[in-house]
Amino acid sequence: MSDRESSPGGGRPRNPEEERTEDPGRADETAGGGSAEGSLADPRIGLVDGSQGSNSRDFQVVLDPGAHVQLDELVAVRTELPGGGGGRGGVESGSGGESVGGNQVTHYGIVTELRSRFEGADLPSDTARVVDRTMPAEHIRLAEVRVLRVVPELFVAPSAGAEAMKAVGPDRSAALFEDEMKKGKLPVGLDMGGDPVYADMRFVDGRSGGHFSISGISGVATKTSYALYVLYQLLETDAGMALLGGRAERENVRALVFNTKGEDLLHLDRPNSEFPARPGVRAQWRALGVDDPGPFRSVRLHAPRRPGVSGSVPGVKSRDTADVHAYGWTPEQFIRDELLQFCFTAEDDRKTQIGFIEQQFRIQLLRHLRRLEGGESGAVVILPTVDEKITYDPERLAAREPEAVPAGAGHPMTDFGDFVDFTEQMANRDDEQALKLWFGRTTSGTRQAYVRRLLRLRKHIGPLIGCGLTPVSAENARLHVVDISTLHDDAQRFVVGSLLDRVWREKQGTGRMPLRFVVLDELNKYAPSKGFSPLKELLVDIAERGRSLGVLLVGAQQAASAVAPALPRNASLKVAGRLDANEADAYRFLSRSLRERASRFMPGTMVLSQPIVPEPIPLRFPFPPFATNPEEAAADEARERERTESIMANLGAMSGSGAGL
Amino acid sequence: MHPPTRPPFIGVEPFDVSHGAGFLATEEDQHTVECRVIEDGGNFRIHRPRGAGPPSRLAFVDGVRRTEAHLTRTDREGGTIGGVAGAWGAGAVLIGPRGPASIAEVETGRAVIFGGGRRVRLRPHPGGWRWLSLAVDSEEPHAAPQHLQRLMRDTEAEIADRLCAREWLVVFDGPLHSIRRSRTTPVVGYVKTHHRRTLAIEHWTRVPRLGVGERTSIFVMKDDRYACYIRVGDSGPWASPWAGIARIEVPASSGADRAIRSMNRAARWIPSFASAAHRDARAPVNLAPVARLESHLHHLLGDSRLALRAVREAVLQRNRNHEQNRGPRHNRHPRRNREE
Repeated sequence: MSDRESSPGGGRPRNPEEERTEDPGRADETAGGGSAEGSLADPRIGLVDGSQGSNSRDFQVVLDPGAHVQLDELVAVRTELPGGGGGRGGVESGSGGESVGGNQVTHYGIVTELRSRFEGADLPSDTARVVDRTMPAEHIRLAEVRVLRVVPELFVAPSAGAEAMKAVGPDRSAALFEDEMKKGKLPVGLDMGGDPVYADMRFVDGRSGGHFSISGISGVATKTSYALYVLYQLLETDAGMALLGGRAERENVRALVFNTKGEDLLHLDRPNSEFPARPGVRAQWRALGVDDPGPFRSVRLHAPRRPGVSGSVPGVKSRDTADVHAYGWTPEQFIRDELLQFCFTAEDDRKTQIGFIEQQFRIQLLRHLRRLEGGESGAVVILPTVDEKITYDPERLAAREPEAVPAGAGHPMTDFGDFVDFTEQMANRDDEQALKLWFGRTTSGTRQAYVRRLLRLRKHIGPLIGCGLTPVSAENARLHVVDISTLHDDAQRFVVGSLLDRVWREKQGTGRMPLRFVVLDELNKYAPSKGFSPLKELLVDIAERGRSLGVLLVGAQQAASAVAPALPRNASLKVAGRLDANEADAYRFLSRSLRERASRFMPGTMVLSQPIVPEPIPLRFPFPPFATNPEEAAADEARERERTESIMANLGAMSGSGAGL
Repeated sequence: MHPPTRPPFIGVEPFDVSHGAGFLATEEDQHTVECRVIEDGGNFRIHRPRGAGPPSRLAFVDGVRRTEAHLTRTDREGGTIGGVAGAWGAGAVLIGPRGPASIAEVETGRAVIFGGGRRVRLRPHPGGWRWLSLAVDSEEPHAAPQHLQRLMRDTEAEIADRLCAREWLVVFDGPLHSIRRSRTTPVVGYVKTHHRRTLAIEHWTRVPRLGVGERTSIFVMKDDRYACYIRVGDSGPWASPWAGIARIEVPASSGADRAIRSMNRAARWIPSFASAAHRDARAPVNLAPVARLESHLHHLLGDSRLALRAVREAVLQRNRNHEQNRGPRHNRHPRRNREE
């Protein structure tokens, strides 16, 4: 028919079905080969949906029948701009605006949702008809894509009908802004496809930003594991160390990790016995640039001394006491480091005048401080009176080396109990002048409350203060694990406050390098969203100013809403694992769909938001090569015991044979 | 469900009023031709075909057309001839041996058709609209729209022929006599409305007793096709007796054996494609694949408002060019527009 022959390309709307299915019987036979080719050789996944408008922030891709696309995959779409020119968008032309005159832009996006439906079925019951093959319909799959980046930076919508490609190779790097990470990039995990995702080092080391905020339900969110993964990348790999500055700066980098649960983190220096049995885990580490994953090599372990035992024996069960340093403070350090302030950090302490008394008392202690002559190291004497002209400035007082006096010169102190007794005596004095000096103008009721509080703390904080104890020192290792799991909440806050205060004071005025990382779980306990305490003030100060001083907080919490807002707000890198569905409001950096997904995340899946990538990227991190609890270290321990026993047996045999000779 | 047996009773025609009545056959129509039953020794029976399995290699072919603009052409003497701009489309729904039912073989076209044997050419519109320029000799006002209908039917017939040649059982939506060309291939015509009584009255009155999946004995219509009645679906207890009844036809040229085979298969398979009353005004006889194909074809023809606008713009452009080329100043392209 001559009419029809001339019509193709005429008024005839394009219909892809015509070319595709002449005969379903035949089409079926070739379908296998066709789809395999579509997924491997050709990165094309489909076309930008023209039935729903696209915009500069998000668009929809109608997927090709053979395309395999899942959530979080990265997509590139090239759009021709009207009014040509010679330039090309995309990675070849680099980032920035130099090729604005070009006629092509590339949109990079991430798949945020996938849909599937029968086109042509408009009632639910149509589905059965389509499946029964009594109604024709086309199976349509759609991918919703959120734009991450446009290169060059022209905010236009991707053209309807433009080809959407999987972003691979240079496109993938561009989609994740890797070309912008010129000052170093840290592998922070693997995307869902198993390719590494990087964070801009400028936002890790404090140059442009710092601090990690890791959120998620405990148990399934693997917050601590993720923090350790990041530390491992930084401290135990050559590539990570290279990011930490020059040689001296690298050698002096320190990380302080608080162990809050069991004795889990006291085994980081041992290989993980479950690691070899994990399939594919070595390949994952290799993808992240680690060819030979193993335990942390530069580690020191610290635990509070065993309660009820004099001397410094660490209170640990799963490790040899020789491996662990028992930490504590001498009375002199307690006073000169002004640690009294970290004794009063509980919720109800902040509502009363106790903080005021503490401040007054702390300064008077410094003013009246003397060393005990001939006593144990760290023992002090508090003089009954001192010259009124002595300064009240705590910093100058603390810097002063106290003179040694005999025990009879005042009130000697060798442990926390002595201090509590002294406080009680002072509070009960009739000397109006002395009371005003030590307690300010407070009523006797307030003073008694203060003493009662201290009496209660005697049991919890007492063991941490004593003569001959040494505090946690940052010497001799890059990673320092401080066990606080066995301590009461008050004592935990005391230890965290004391150590952070020390790190913070040391870094004042020394500049950003070398860096100090502090890993602290249950941040809500130390810097709760409501109330006020010296510890919270310190943490907020670190969050706000720490990045320029090189003190970088890797904080973790179950719910960001329970933490002082300044902490998550100042964190450049926000990471979330499994989230509590009720907590969604605190995670505005996640899109709604991602928040919903995050409430179902499996252990090991996190989502990372970093400043230069406008959308959070879901990622996974590999199983650790180091033991993260005693069970994982068990095999290693058994091996060690075996080795020791065999040595002992050999020794025995030798001595036995020696005796025989 | 069969209609109540105790007369008199009232029934509701299944068709929506906008489609007209489905049953129009009066008992005393002068055009009534009582057809000869060729099966069962000339006796009228009801059969329930068996076997054949689930539908496989079954095709439904249908087309749509749309008049998008009425046009006129006025000559120097003031005489005016009518024409149309319109589009048509045809295609098939294929139910293959496996896989989903799919729409295929789709063809669409768009044309400007004038009576009086004069073609008028419109230049393609930048929005993608293009028109064939066609002419019919007749100057009757209906000639041009009828030609559009013809174009659609021809396209349908071509598609049906192609599929028949590939051994598909083709169900063509409409009576076979509307196909100009395909009277020789074993296409099954599917007729939803009953305008004329075709059987002796005693047989005719038994047709509504058909159950779903049954067919009547085969009879010969006008010596060129075999036909029988089938019940496509249950129209509900309120329905008229003829609601849900359709006639299927096969060209006689395909031979009685082949015709019976085709009709048995069609009678078994077609009821599963009956449409549901809540979604089709002509349920159950308007088959679901056909309804879907029609809506798909309409969709492919594009937006009718845009089509009208494109015609207007193309006509305006043509008249302007015509005017300019005649004027002395713009006579730079003397060879253009010689064709009207």
